Amino acid sequence: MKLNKILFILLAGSMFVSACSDNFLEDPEPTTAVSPEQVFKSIGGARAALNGIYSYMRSGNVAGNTDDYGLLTVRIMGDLKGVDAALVAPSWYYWDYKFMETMRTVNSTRTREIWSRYYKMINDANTIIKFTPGIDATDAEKNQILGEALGIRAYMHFELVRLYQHTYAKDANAAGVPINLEPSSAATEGNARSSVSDVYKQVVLDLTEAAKFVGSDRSLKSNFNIDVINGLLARVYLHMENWSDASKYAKLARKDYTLMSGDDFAAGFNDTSNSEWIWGLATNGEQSLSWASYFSLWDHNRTSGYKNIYCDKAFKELFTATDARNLFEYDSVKEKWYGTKATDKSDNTGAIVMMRASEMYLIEAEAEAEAGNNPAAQTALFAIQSQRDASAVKSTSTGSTLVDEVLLERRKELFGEGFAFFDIKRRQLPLKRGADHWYQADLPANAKEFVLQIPKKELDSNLNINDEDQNP
Amino acid sequence: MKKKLFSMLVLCLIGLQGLMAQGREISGIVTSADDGLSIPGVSVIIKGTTIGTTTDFDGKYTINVEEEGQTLVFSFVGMKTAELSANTDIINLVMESESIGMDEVMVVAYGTAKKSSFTGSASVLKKEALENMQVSSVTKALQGNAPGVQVISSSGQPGANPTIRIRGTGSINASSAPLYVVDGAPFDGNISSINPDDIETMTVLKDAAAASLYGSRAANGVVIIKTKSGKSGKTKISFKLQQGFSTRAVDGYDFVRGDEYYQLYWEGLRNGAISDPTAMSGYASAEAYATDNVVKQLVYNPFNVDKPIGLDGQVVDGAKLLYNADWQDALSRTAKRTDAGLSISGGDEKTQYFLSAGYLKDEGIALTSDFERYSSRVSVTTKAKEWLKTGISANMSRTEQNAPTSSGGSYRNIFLFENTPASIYPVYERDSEGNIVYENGKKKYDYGKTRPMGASDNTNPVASTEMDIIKNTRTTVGINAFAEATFLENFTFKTNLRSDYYMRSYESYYNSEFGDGAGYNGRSTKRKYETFSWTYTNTLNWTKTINEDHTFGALVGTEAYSYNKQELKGQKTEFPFNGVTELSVGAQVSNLSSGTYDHRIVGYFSQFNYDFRNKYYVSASFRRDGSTKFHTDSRWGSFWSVSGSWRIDQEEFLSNVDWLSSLKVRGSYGTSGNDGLLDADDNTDYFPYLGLYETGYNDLANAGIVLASLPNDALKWESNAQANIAVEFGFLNQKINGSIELYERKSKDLLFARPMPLSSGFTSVNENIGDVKNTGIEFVINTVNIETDDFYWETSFNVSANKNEITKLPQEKMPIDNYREYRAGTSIYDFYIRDYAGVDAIDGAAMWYTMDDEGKKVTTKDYDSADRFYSGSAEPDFIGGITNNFRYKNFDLSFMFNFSVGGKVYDSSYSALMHAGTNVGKQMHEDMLNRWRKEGDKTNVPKLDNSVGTNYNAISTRFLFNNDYARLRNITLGYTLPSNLLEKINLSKARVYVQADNMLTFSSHKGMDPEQSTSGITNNRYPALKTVSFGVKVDF
Repeated sequence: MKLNKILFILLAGSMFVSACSDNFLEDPEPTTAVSPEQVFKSIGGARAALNGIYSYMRSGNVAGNTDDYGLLTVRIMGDLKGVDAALVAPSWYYWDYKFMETMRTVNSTRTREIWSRYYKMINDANTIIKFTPGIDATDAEKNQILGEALGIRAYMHFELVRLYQHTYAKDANAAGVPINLEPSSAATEGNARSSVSDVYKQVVLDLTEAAKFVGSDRSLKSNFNIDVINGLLARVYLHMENWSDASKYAKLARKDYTLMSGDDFAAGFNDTSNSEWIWGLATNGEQSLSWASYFSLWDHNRTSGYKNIYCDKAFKELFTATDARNLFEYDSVKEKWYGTKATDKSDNTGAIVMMRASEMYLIEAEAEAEAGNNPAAQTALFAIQSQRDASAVKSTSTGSTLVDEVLLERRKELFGEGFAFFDIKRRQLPLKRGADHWYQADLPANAKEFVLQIPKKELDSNLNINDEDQNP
Repeated sequence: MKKKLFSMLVLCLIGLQGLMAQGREISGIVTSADDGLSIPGVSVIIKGTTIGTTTDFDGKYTINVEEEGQTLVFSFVGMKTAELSANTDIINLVMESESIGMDEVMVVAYGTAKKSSFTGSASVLKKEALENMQVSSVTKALQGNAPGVQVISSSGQPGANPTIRIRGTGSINASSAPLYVVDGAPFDGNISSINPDDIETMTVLKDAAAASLYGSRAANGVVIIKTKSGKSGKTKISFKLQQGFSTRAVDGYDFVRGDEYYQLYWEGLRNGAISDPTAMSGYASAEAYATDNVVKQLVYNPFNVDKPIGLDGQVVDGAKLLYNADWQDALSRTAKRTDAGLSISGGDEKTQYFLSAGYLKDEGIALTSDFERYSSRVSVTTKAKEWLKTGISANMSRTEQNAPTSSGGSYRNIFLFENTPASIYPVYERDSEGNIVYENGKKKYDYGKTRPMGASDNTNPVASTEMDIIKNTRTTVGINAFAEATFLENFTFKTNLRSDYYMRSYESYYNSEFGDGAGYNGRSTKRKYETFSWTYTNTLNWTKTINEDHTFGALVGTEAYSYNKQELKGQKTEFPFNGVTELSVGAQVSNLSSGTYDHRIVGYFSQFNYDFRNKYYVSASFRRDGSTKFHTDSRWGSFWSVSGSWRIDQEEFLSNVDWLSSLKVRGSYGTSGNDGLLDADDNTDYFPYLGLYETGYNDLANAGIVLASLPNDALKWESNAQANIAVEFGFLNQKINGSIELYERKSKDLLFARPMPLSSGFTSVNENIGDVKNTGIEFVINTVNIETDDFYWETSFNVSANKNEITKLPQEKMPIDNYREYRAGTSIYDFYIRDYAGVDAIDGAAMWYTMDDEGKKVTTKDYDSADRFYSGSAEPDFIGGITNNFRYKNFDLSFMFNFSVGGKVYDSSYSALMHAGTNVGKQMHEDMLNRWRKEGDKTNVPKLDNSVGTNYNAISTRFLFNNDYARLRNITLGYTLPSNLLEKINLSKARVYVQADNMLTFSSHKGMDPEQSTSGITNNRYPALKTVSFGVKVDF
């Protein structure tokens, strides 16, 4: 018996010891996530971080709402807050279409999701910008990564300042949005709103820097190459009414892209292989948002979808019979016209165009007209008109008439691509819809309804933005 | 288990003496009043001597009595001691259990304790109470039976587990769920896999003294489940069969009829056109516009005329309503419930065993919803050597649950859909005369391709629910093995290994014709994960009594816990054959992912007990735990407790007070911890301290990642400190007994997702910040009201109140959602919403309150400029239950009410039914008939006006209601067949009974089930079921 007892004491002791092995608690590691240290060990890791941002631009449902499709939400809103696209009943985005304050003001999910998503991409870009220089790789490899990240950071700031304030030309000293240039940490207390002009300065700085770094090669049209950077510079300068640079970069951006044919125009706007697409977001069967996607709302001939976006009859009537863009059908139940420009691929994997050559012609035309270079403007405008409509006649207008013609052409050419609302803001136009609309908005130029309020969660947690800094 | 140990002990001490005695021989048999079975090991002693014996394994005894006039004393742990005079040769005794006595043995952390000596706070639910409940998930039985425990059955879906909160909610972002311990070790499977018939007791450990030995994971309390084990003696075979039916326990909302809907919608159009005349351009009047457009907008016309509503807003003469759809009825059914079980137990002095098998099929009232469980359990213990006891138990169960979507805003949700299409939209297609259209002899479903958005177009869940699959299959296998050795003097060493294997398989198929799956030609999802966890516990116990006055006890132990989860998920679309749903069939991969997750804890613990003459007790414990959820430098936490009690009834000065049978005061203070931080979707965060990139953000074939979290190496255990004081009392030989307890529970260093400025790119960072306090009181009283040979009546009543308060936050205001904003001084249950100011009698507009510049509360008609106010709490003022048990001869009757008083509920389902004509086609509540119609109308319901957007029924106190309720949770009537009859057919016991759950519900707000969620917000949930069953239980 004595032996047994001693044995037990030994056994007990050994069991106590066995439980405290150090590795037992050290071994487990994340299996579906990686640390920043692992990511920035190689240029491939940094590239994955960039790919993540490109993917995130078109991912849905991140914050939980069905109508949060990343950049595409802003794009859909961009048409529905204009005068040409229309809804006919309460359905997705009708809050935006009806300019309902609940979707614009401080507590709305719309402003929260746009704000958080764009700043998230800024922070991811900042992390890449901070850690890429330390990677053991060639300067060329690192510069390409840095340039794309700078371009992304610039684009996000630019979009935010367009959404959260009136246009640059109205008041460059107005409060813009916070500029973030460093990766966030737990100690980040949030930056104050910078002035609109400071935000634009930073955007131009980043894009100019990016233009030095990035080349023209890329694996997918989602990636920012030199053409995308130039195109963004053209857009930014157009907003700043720097006409000469706007025209200059517009020409640079489109130089390797040819305008598509009329047949291509009618082919659905769903493939990045299109000759004039400079920047586009493609998807595949696994990554498609399907029901929750751009095409689900726009494409009435899709097998399934919300199919809720129509257009104003007066807008449809702007197109001549010979215009390749005269792509409309009539819904006899709803008694409304809808566009057939955007049609999804049969497997719901249509790509989204984010920038194309014709926009660059239009920027050039508008900038040249504003600068008083009428012939150059007329030529740029006619380049599009003649491509779309064989019976088009070259404009002989000048001055503001010519500018108005360019703006009308923008509506016709870029319908459904998210420009309508931003052009109204940029040109400081009133917003008045015609009789065919379910909701006939009548808002003055620079109406407060055109500016999103900063989300409540930002006001509550940012030590440098308070209630009194809020937009009206 | 303790009973047997005790009897062995008795046998050793007095057995020899019994054998040596001489004189007249008395013999007999001792049986239990509970089950009629014989009791082995009962000590039989001649009063005033040390002469005695114990009953053998058939409950028989023989004893020699030397003198006349002596008395036999029968005693056994857990039974009432009986004294009988030894004047006949055969003395049989039916022993009654000491059901409400002070010396019950309780299951506590890492062992058992006598109730009288226990210094902590715990509630025990025994098998008798469990048997009266038809619960598929056993923790539902705690409702109304355990003070301080809030049980909310958010879903009537069979097999769904309720939400359990022990003494309030102590965490904000970390899990507030208690730890479940089954047979001595933490349980990681699904509680619904356990057959309630296999459970001996369920014990809720509430205060620090009771729970903190489980240290690391005990912050939210512990529920200990002890399963049945075998008893030595005659083999007992028990069989049960129960068959019942279920219907809805509470009625749904009352809707307007189709003709009323048409009139109301007309009025909304008319008023809308007056508010915003742009809509009616081209019409002579708003009335003409409304009359012309009402059919156009609602699309379906259930009348026999084309323009059913006239310019006066009334149904025109001659128009007849052809049908009135009842979606609620079409979407539900009367369901069946079958519950069968068989158990065999027995053993000899060395080895005891228990075997059981159970089958349950519990259907729900929602189409297709059900729960089926096959369960089995086996347990064997044996005394291998005089000093060594070992045992092993194993359980296996498989459950299959069809669970169609039954909460939330998806139109798949049956309980949303029944409130969705107005009664003008038929379930089956109707011809122009209103007759149901048949196709191939069957009623043809109306899929509503042209139904407006508010009525959910292109779907009909009555048909498609049957075409879809949402199914959970769960397999649970658990093995528990132990060895316990006694050695030297007073030492016991126990080693216990428990392992649980749990496999959950989730499958869903959305059909290719209607609803979510139509866009993909059918979509099939398979998600499987298996978890394997083990807990290895070693304890060393020592007890010693010195001079019969001082009893010491000490325990040291170690515990290692490992949990591993492996998950695989796949989803495909494009299914060519509707209903053939395996992934192999689909053409397009839409999701394929996998992951492995680990969680490990190591703990060292100790406990020390001392009592003096069974009068004064003190106890202290200490535990140190390390968890993989924290950084190496921060992962160890220390938890401790001290407690004491004083049995005043044992004092000399009370020995003459006959009416007082027990009086005890006790108190405790101690800490415990929580590492269960949840992510934004309420899933376990395995590495909450790491800053990580999330994978899977791929851009076509380019692998992509995005930043997901910020690091915090200093993240550590959330701690919970609890103080508890209690008085336990008993009068008239315990015929009246009860307790009253007070506690204060402070959660500190909360595991908290501190909000970050959204512009940082993160919504939050995990930190230890914020404090929450729960204070409460619990009162229990049990009384034996009448006790005669034929009639017995006892009552148990308990009531408890908890008050929650946030005491510290990282920022002054913490917006949570549209209903809540946390601030120090408020409670996590508080509603923070706009305050409804009624209807302006002049124009019929809704009004809310706002604070003007001078700080005065004034009304506004602009919802957005109205201010939010703290408007009450979802936390009830008090909850409780009352149980009455009656026995008359062979009849028994038991009924139990549970109640909840004082909490508020925000009824969003009701608010959606109160729209102002803004949600085209959406059903309306009958209360809409009280809407404002003309100047001077005094009503709480604003006018119908489809122009103003959605604000009239937006979130405000208009839809915040008192949620007081009482429920006849259970009523059981049984009849036990007389024993003389049973003997003839060789049965030891047979009982037939009828049992009804949720027969009556009294609630202050109609239309919804009063049990919703801890947050007090409705979410179109599956209501509770009313189940009536007939059963028979037979023991051989």
